[in-house]
Amino acid sequence: MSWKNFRWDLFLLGAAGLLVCYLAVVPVGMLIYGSFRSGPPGKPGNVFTVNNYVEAYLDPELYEMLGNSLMFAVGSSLVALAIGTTLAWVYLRTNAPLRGAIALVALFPFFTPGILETIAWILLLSPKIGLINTALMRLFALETAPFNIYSFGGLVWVEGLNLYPVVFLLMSGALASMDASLEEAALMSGSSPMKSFRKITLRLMRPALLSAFLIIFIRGFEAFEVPALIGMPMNFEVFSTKIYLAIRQFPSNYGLASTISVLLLALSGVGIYFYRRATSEEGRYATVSGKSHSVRRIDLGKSRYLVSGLCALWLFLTVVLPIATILWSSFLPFYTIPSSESFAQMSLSRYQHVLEQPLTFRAFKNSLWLSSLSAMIVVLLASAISWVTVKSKLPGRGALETLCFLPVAVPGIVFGLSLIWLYLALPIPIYGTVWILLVAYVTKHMPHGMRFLAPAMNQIHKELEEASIMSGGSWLQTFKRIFLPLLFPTIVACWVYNFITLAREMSASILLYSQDSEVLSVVIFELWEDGNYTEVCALGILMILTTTGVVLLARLLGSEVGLRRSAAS
Amino acid sequence: MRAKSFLFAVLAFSIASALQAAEPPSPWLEGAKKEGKLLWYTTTQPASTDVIVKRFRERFPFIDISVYSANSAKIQERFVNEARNNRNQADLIKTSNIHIEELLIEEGRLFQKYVSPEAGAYPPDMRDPDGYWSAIELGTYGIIYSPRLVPKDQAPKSYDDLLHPRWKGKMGLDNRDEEWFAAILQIMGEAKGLQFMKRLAQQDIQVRAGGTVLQNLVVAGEFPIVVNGRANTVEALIKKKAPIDWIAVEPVHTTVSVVSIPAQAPHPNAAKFFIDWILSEDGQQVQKEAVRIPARPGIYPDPPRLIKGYKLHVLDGKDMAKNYNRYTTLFRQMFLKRK
Repeated sequence: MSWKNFRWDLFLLGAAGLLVCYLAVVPVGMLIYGSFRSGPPGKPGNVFTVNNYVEAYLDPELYEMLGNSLMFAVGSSLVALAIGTTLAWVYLRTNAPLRGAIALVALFPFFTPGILETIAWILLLSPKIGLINTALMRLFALETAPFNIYSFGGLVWVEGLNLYPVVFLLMSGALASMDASLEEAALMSGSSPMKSFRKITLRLMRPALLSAFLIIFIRGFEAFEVPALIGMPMNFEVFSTKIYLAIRQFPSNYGLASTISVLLLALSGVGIYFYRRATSEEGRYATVSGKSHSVRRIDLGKSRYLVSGLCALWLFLTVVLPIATILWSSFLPFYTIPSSESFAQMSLSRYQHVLEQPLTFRAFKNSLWLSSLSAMIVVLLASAISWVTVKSKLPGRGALETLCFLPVAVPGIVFGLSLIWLYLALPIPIYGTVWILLVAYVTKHMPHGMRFLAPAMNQIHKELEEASIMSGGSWLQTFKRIFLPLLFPTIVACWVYNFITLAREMSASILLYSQDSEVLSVVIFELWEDGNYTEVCALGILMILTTTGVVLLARLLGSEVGLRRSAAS
Repeated sequence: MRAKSFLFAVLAFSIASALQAAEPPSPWLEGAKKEGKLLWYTTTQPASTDVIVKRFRERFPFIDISVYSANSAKIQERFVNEARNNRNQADLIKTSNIHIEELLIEEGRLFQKYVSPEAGAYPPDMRDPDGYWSAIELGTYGIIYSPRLVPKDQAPKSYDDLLHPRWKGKMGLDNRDEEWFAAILQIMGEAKGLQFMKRLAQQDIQVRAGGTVLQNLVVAGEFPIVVNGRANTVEALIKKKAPIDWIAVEPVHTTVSVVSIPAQAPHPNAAKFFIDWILSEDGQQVQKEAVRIPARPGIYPDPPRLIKGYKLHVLDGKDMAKNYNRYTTLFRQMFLKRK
């Protein structure tokens, strides 16, 4: 058999299938198996039982928490979708000035450790000491604080702001490779830019929007920091609290925790089913075709300054203010509101102290290379798998997509634990090394990669592929010459997204890291537990700076390749 | 000849005893040198661990010590899973006595006994009667207040003072303070303790997630009072001149961090050698240097008032371990399930 006739698609399906089985199905299987056991592996006297399910699902508390989680996840997803999509559209589809800067600042909440972002919002919007509240009360001589962070609105606001960069990145990938001629047609026929956005762009973006919703909904569902820090004072307990309590009780009830996680798995399964149904008709969303691939932007006319101004104001309120709070705290020995007294206390000693610790450098180094490498592997895997699930007609592709998506629905700590069980039992010597982190990162983020690449793949019209095959191109050539270049903006966005989320990943890392393979999030957690708030702020700022550097580099590389592409066409 | 050998013997004996007085040879020294390695699982935060590890290396460069640090729940999880699957790596575990007691109840086979010759210097509540753990570090707790919002003479001096109507709705509480809850029940007795907690809960207590958040909110001015908090971190903030202070209510709620050796420790001699050192005066001075509270009587932390002069109530780890779920449920019902 010559290389020309080699069935790359079959090979890919097989290879991807095996890999996904190994990476995702085995640990998830371990989790489901664990949910039917009376105790963790290795414990004497373990038996099969359904008690975990009986205990979990007969508990009325679970349903109250489930309801809270649903409201919370839907609320914050809607906030995130609205903000993220609008900003991505302004960035990629309009001629608003300074849009590049807007796009970078919009990502900042994503670079910031979640705990710091949440504390910053408490310090801004607490009814008693919140800076925004006290400023507004003084300004308008108000009797009571206008905002209360400890409310459902506050919860959804902060989580929505945590999540919208995900939407922004997912949508920019999709918008960048979308053909603008339909939008232009709408504009030419006299509709306003807003109307063309609503009627054309949003509709064409449906797969990407659904994809984004699926991801952030699950992230909202398993979110822990915001509900813990802001929800607790108002007795708003969520689903993840239940898992946390099951793990915290003695002896830790991982059987119960797994049982509850299985529910999250089932929910995600339903989500992916509806996603596939909604986007199943190939071709409906294919807007990247053989016709001229125009990237012309919409002329907003004079209102482009207004749009940029509004975006800047919005980002000032939602991004600059909280990060300024963190930056301000990082110069102080302890947090105080700005005053002449506190200005006098400003120094770089927090930074000095953080940088003096050898652990800090080790953690930066480990986090950077681990996250970059894992993100790269995720991109490669997700490109291959989404080609199989979206473009090939091979049987079993739907199952592959669903299986691949499973790990996202397993809460980090439970996932970390099932990996421990797995690699303690398997004769593969990665337990206790840095490689187990790599495996965890790739597995947990493969679904995120898929959510970027599958919709983008959906947009590429099959006539391009057919043209290539007709002209005698092999499958591999088609993938290399057609798909890869067209997908490049998405690939960059996907890498950036995964790099940042992995650099922040904590719940699985903290169980899996070993001596000398510490990562940043672990150091942040430890400093935080010990009460060093302002030092965590300093470390957070260093993290924001490093991540910004990496993202700018990736963008530079992305635009470089993008240019070469258009030069070649 | 006889006199000569007698003299020689006397000389040898006095040299030997002089050497012994300077540095008693450890029975574990040879074994530890041969092992040459030590892996330490610890809950101590990295900045402090760095100091301890650095001093240990300076003194005993022949042992290559490395550290895995995480919070007590994570250490427990990791250790127990490794040990159960016969993949134990840790030579030494440092965590709260409660977690060790929990593991002992569940699976005593996971640990080995070791009573250090230094243990005699410690009071009975700081070492396990069965020899499974020895305390190396204390944590003391008290009522935290903001001197900016509450003048020192008006600050609560006892737990009963917290029940005064003027504090209603103004006090913060850590949502993970089950240990304090248990300590109060141990100190006051179950019935009286529960009654106190019920009345305290009626004070409209504001629950927040974790001590770090609470202490920062006191500094920032959100809370005048926090019902209970770690004195050590308050003192660290006081050193930076932050507006925060704490009041010791006697007997002071005290927790102990202990060291234990896993049954399958790969380097048991090095582990015992380390325990002897960390319990010794020198080791405990290093604990002080690492801004921890040394457990050894007579060595005071910086500042000494973290323990000096108070009657301490060391949390009964066995009781806590046995009744952890009951304490947690009661605590949650009283303070977290209000509607």
